[in-house]
Amino acid sequence: MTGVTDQPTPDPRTGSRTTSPGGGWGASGGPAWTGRAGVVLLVVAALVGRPDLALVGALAVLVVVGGRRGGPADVTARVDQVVEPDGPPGSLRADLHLGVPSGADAVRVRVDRPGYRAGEALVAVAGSRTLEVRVASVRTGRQRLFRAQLQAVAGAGQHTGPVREAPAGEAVVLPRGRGLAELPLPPRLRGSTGQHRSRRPGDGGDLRDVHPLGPGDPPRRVDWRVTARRAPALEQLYVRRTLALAEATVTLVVDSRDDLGPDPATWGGTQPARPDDSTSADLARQAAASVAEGHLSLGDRVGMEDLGVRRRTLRVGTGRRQLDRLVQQLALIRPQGRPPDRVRAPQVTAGSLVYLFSTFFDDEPVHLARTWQRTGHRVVAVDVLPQPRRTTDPRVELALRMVLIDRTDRLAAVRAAGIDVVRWADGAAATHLLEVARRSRRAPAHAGPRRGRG
Amino acid sequence: MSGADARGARLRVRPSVLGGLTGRGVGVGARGAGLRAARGAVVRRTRTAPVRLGLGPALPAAVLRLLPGALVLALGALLGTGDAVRVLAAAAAVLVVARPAWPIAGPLVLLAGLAVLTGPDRVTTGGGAADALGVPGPVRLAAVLLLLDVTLRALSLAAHAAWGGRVEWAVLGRAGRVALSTQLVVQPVLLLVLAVRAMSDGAGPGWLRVLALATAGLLLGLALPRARAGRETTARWPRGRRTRGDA
Repeated sequence: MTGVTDQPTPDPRTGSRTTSPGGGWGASGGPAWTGRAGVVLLVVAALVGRPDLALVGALAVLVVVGGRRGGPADVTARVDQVVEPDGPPGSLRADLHLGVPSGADAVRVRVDRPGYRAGEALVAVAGSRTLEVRVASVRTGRQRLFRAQLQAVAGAGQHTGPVREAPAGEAVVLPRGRGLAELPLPPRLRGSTGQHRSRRPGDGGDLRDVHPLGPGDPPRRVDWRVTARRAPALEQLYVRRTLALAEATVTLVVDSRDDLGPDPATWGGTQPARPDDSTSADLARQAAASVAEGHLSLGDRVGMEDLGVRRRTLRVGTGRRQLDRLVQQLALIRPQGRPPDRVRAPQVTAGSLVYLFSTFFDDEPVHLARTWQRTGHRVVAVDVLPQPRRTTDPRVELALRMVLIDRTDRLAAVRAAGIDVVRWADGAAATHLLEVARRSRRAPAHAGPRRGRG
Repeated sequence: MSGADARGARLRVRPSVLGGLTGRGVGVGARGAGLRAARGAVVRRTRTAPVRLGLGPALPAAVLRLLPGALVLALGALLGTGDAVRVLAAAAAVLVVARPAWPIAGPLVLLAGLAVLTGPDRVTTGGGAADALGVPGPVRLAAVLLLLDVTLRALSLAAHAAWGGRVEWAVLGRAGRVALSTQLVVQPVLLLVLAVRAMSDGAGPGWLRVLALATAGLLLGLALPRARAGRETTARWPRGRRTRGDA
């Protein structure tokens, strides 16, 4: 058998690939010639009476015969993606499970991945072994995993089994939030389950005032110390009234229509971006996940809209599960087909804070941001274009300058409309967002219509 | 959707991206070709990151690839003092380093045998004749047998090691144990032959030749069917190639 490459069958439960067994040991031409040479030397030594020559010949034959192997020689392999929630960021890991036949000394392994230099090794395996495979990757979203090629080696390299291949599966790499200290608030807060102080009376917030007990005030709110000071004869009871807590409603609008890396030469789409470069989609995922994590940790309600594909809309919700849904949804965003022409802006919940994650390479996000701003929403535009890399070609450089001038004009128009713009690609994104948050808090948010008592 | 579809979507939907990225004298209608031409000038070989394997203690495979060459040179130095032997050893060393997967081991054994045959008999009475360096013949022969064994093992392993790969020490350890077991057979046989030579006062007895011929016939029967089977079942390791994709 030469060049045996069986098609592996994917495990329907885990998605991992396993090679199928079959095939025996084979020797390359080398050992065969070595054995023949040894026999020739033995014969000549016997004829001329040279024991030293006979020993050399015998050694050669012994080397060949000693490596003799029988039985099946197949390596079985399975590649499983390993999700490391607390592992180092920027890496992708998989486990390669190897099973080798008896008699094998080693397995020749080659693991490759598109865009990476293949890792190759001769590894010692006794029965079974799990190899950790890792690449540095800053990319998120749907990713191809590793393809492994394997061959059992026996007899100190003289005999080999058939070559098997465990093809690459796919995995979704979830974006991770950056952890933002403070986030902006919308102009209006709603509900009563958040952690933001609202301006309406209710429970849970800071002290609002001390007021004579009236109808509807619960007796447990009576402040006896104030009452004793102001009305020693207890002719009037005083209660402490507090402000209510409220939550913000946040809508993440992600522009998934393009995925641009820092190298302008790849923007045309004929060349893939380097795997160690974060693209605009990666930055958008990370930025949106960070914002969602921050708001949901404060009890806010967060939803998502996709400018590229309408069915990716996620209604506002709160809690840990909503964060999981959002992160999963964000991981799946990518340019897909021809986006529909939007007649109207995506509808967002009244009084919500809108984060718009885009590269601002056309006028549509600018138009949408202005529309939302006009209808009373607070809009934060997050620019997710990576820092473009300089090119050596003057024509590309010129074209890049023109594109960036257009983009700068658009961002200026956004700022002119009173919309805060945060650039995510530079390291100061959290600081910019903090400034925006502080500005938004100077005009204290007020609660919307009362819900329930409070 | 494939990466090409995604890029296609961008080409169709975001004309402003490409509309801006048009080179001098390249109109919007021909911007695709213009862009490709412009990009051609800045395409460079990017430094690719490696796929890392979690191995045990390992050494660079380049060391293993170079090892047979060094061993062949040492073997050449041990076997003969003539220029022809050295030149042949150097050529063989280059060959085993460059193409370890080729069937070089057989010719290498034949060359070693030829060098032994053309040299003085190293298993002589009285411990063998010492050479110019004062090393007795049997000692030199023992060293040749050891070096040849290690060379053949290293060559077999090197055939499965890529220049940029790694080899675990455990693999070398196993090969070393196999070589040791062979030496445990060969070196005592050398001593036995020395003893027999000493007892028979220099000349080898006739039955020893008959025994050698019988052994050769037996080994011929053992080795040749195996070689035939080997030709049928050897699987060729695919050549490595740089893969491109939308990772």
